[in-house]
Amino acid sequence: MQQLSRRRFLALGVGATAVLTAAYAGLRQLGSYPELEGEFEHLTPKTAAIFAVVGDFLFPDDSVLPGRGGDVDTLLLIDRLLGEVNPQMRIMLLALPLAFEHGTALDRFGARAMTDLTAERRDEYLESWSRATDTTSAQLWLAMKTVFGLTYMDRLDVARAMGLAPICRGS
Amino acid sequence: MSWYLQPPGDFEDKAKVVIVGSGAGGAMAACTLAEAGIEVIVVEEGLAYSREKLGLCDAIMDLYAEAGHRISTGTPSLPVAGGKALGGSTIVNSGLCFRTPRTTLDEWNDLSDGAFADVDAYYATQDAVEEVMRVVDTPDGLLSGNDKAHRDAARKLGWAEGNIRRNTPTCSGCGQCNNGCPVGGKYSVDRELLPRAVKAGARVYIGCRVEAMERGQIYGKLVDGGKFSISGDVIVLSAGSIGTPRLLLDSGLVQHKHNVGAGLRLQPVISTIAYLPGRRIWTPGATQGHFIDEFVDEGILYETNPTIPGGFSALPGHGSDWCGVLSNAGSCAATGGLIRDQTDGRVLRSRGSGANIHYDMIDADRVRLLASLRHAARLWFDGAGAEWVFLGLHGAPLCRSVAEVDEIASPDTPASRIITYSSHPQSSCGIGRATDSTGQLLEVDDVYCIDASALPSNVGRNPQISVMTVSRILAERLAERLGGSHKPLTASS
Repeated sequence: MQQLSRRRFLALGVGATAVLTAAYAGLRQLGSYPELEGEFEHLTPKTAAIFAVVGDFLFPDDSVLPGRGGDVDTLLLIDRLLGEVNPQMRIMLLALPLAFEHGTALDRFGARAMTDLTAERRDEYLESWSRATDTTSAQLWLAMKTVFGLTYMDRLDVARAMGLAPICRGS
Repeated sequence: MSWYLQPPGDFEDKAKVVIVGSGAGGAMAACTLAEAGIEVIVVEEGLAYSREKLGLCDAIMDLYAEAGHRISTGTPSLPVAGGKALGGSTIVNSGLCFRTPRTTLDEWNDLSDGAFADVDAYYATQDAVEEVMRVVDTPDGLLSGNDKAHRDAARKLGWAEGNIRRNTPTCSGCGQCNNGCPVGGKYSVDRELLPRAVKAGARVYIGCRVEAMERGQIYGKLVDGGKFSISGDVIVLSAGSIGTPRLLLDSGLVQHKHNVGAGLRLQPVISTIAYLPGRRIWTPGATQGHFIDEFVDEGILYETNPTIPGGFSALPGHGSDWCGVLSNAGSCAATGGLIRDQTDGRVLRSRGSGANIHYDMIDADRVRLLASLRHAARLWFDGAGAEWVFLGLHGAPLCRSVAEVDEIASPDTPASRIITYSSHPQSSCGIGRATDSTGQLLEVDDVYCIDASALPSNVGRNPQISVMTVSRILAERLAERLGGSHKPLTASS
């Protein structure tokens, strides 16, 4: 059997470590997601879980606004919104949560996907999105908030709690 | 029985004139031509609006083009709103009716080799349009809390201001114009112009999306499945400043090099939201009832902005503290600075399913939008004692003084940070550029553009009444060409 040179041994070792690390990170990023409650046409368990996490971060259940941003009513509204936009836009809107889920790899949060982080780390991670000053991150953050602006914030109970209940004096 | 038709399955039809789109331009063209004795078919992609709907979410998904997600490429990228319903954008606009400024009309005549050279006749037509559309000043009693805060602040500063004229004769002050008026108080074109066209013999098809055209023929699909084709001696495109050039380019009937789709103006708007503690801003009244014209020389017009829950999602923050800020939305006033832009945008051939709109804002417009933020800060801080002001800039905090706004919205702020939107795309098939003085395409006979796309440049104000005026004039010219005798435009009793 041919003996490995020291250089080749080191190269193989570094290569194998890199492959294993990447595989580990990839597996952690793949994650697993709970089955959806309710009938969804466009949201997958993964995209729904991501929207739910961000929704709860924006509108937690202990706030003065009713419900929470990640509840099933809001997710159903997001699903409906996805059904109404054109296919191109749908792809973009479904890619949006993925940027948040896997953006951890570009931050200091490493291998774990966002939904796999502890609650504290997840809040810390999303906090960094909310404070982003670079234009791309700020635009993605605003896009995400706008999704909830068109869904959660348009719920009648939420509009009322904001002091913006529809007013009609009759015809 | 409805006055419009929703075909249950495949169909073919023909008429002398086929009009694609039933908004401000298409409805006016249909009424004018039908009453001149010309056989007309109107084809509308959207459906008839159900007045039971109230929520913004429903409205955006059902009544807006591309479910409200039509956006431009370029910097800054901006949403470009448009209606998709029987009645087009008149169903979802705030019913604002500004007359065409004389300076704009003069510019149009320069650009179009005098298409509207008889200025008196133009304004006489506009008078008639206003009468038919039931345009009146918003009475003080219909000003919302937002309008009153806007007015009081402007008056305190001594700025030129006024109540906006609107086509909302039986408005009950719901503030829901943009969701489709839930009480029928807005006199959108489905109230008179389209029914008048039908009474004069026109046929109006809804739920019919036109996907291709050639000279004398349009083809498309029904929203509920099935397909249709309609032939006509003349095709009139009234699908708006995005839809009209898009159809022409996607069908290969014209090439972009022939100026179809070029010269698009988006007339961007930038919002500021101001927290006025202790004031009730969310009160019954007009969706948008007050304007400020102090900065018209800078190309900036301020209008009270519709206060909608989702509009607050851009405020910085998250979590319980943020929700606390949002719970004060009923005490927040909003204004929108609408600029008369000079940027030449483009509608291009579609790539995929959405419209392909390109708009790279030129420096003069960027500077204008930023100036409009700084003026608005003065309005709210100096005129109304605001506690904080939110600016339409990515990454901006809630500002607590004019000095802070001057720093954050400084003239060197890049366009990529600006959060703006468009509700008034115009002039993408402008007369003098892509069409002649009758609205006929320069390169294809018997195809006309009669809608906002035909405006030689942008109005600089909400264009509804200008679009109707130009459409009436172009439709009269077409009626004469086809041997019809158009009747004077008068309001029905």
